[in-house]
Amino acid sequence: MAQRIVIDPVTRIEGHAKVTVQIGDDGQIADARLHITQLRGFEKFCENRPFYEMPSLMARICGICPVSHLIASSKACDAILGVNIPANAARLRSIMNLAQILQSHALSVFHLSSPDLVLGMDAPPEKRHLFGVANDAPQIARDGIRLRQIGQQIVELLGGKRIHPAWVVPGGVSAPLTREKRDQIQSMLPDGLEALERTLHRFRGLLQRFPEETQCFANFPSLFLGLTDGKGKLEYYDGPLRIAGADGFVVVSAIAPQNYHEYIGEVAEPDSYLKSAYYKPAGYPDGIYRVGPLARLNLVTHCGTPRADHELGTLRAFAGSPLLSSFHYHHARLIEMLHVIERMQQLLADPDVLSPHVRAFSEPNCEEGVGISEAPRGTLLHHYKVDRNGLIQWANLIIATGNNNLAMNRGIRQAAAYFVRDGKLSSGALNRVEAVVRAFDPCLSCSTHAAGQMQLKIDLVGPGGALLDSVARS
Amino acid sequence: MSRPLIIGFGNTLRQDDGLGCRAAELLRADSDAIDTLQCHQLTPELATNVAQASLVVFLDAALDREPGSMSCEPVSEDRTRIWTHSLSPAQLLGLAAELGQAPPAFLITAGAERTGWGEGLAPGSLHSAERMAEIAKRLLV
Repeated sequence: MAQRIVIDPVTRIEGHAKVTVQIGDDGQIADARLHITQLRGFEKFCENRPFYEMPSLMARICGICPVSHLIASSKACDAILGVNIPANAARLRSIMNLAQILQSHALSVFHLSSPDLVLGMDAPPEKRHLFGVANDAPQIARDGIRLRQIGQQIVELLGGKRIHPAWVVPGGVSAPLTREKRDQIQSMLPDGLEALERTLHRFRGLLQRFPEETQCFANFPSLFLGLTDGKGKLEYYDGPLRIAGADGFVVVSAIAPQNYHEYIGEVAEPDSYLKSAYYKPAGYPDGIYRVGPLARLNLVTHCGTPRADHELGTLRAFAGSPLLSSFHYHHARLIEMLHVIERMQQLLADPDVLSPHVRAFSEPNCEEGVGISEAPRGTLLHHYKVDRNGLIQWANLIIATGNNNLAMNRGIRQAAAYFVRDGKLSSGALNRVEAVVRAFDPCLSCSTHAAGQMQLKIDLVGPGGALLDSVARS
Repeated sequence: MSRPLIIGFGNTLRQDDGLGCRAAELLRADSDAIDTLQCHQLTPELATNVAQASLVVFLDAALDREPGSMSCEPVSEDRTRIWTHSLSPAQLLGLAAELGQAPPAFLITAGAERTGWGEGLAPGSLHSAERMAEIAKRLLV
């Protein structure tokens, strides 16, 4: 008999979502959908605001990755000003972006996903949370907390605040880095590397204990999209967009930000406030692609820092290249954490990091601007149009989570087909369907909404639409 | 050597919800012998600060009580399930205990008068913040 399973709300992710799993008459999974159920509307209510307000306004989209919005928005405003910002402004913005990636990845790996990875997908739900990890593996919990602290403290040292710093502005940054603050940041980084080495040592073994999850957590061929340095090295702040295929070959090597619309389209589905982005030449929905840590590592030949390159080589030797299973997002996130710390060390070692030339000033010279950066969860794009007075007339944001929407939906379908047996969801199966979503680390605050606690509900629906089973978690 | 830690928390953009932060600010200005933190909400990262403190005093606005009314209560560890974006003082203490030690802790709250959009406290709440700071000082003796 046909059924429908509803998971509402999905837990341990950023925002509000529910999952619907539809089972056909033959007892097989007919469809599975991730529904994002809240609307935010930043693109609309910013209209008629002065463009220079946009970075601070857009940063309010999210409390986890405000720096990503600050940076993408400021880059779009740089384009409206028509300026090349000073080299040290780009360097300082980059350091702040790296720090934010560190703190956000630490949140995802340690606070949200480590309960599944350390305690097991089938551990009792009442133990599967951060306290459970702290009890079972206190060093992992301590390291996770410390790594997030380091990222947050660096953001605070640079921008004056941990959340919603206003330091990144159109034209650059509002103040140079002092020697004292640089020394403070540098002194924290070895501690972070030590914590990561400990974590990676533990996680390498842990992650190999999930063969089923590796096999069916959004494990399929797709395109991958992200920034690179233009030569195949990992890059988060600036550079052309690259698209690669599941065979590892580059499909499009360098897309200039202002030409993104020739390659990326967006579709709004009737059952979700989260739009789905797709690769236009392949059409919708065949133009499915993934962004974020897994995609970024699939797009590059190397990271460009010794420890991260060694770890990437180890992962590729074990799991192949390109990495197709989204379960590898966790390991990719840890490699990126290693990389961002090493990269910050490189950037801070440059004496020019103390240069006082950190901002370009200009009146608006262009009526349109596009800014792209890599947020922790993937490629983030801000596109604005202004009138002659510099007032915003139109804005479009393509968020990392929207880029991954098609892949998340397909991943849920794949995991549900594997784990839902006889139209029933066991607690472990419910958690695995959620864990597929969690592997992508979606930020629904960014894509739609950010109030309160993320929760999960799964519906089991028959072919006629009848709700046959529902599992909710509060 | 461990020192007392004062944590004032709340949203300073919602008027009297920032009572705890204001009280922490007063205490910071008043003494070098304590550590003070002001934050929007309590997050897991604070557990390491708590675990290293000799005593913790949480300062918060109470939205469900009469404006100006005060309360000071000991906080016990709570190790039940947590949401990682926002913890209660008891949950933060519980996490600190899992990671090392949970020092003695108290929660001082004062009833908020208005919590609309905007910065700054109501005139009566400025006085409440001062009283919260006075009570905290007595705990620190």
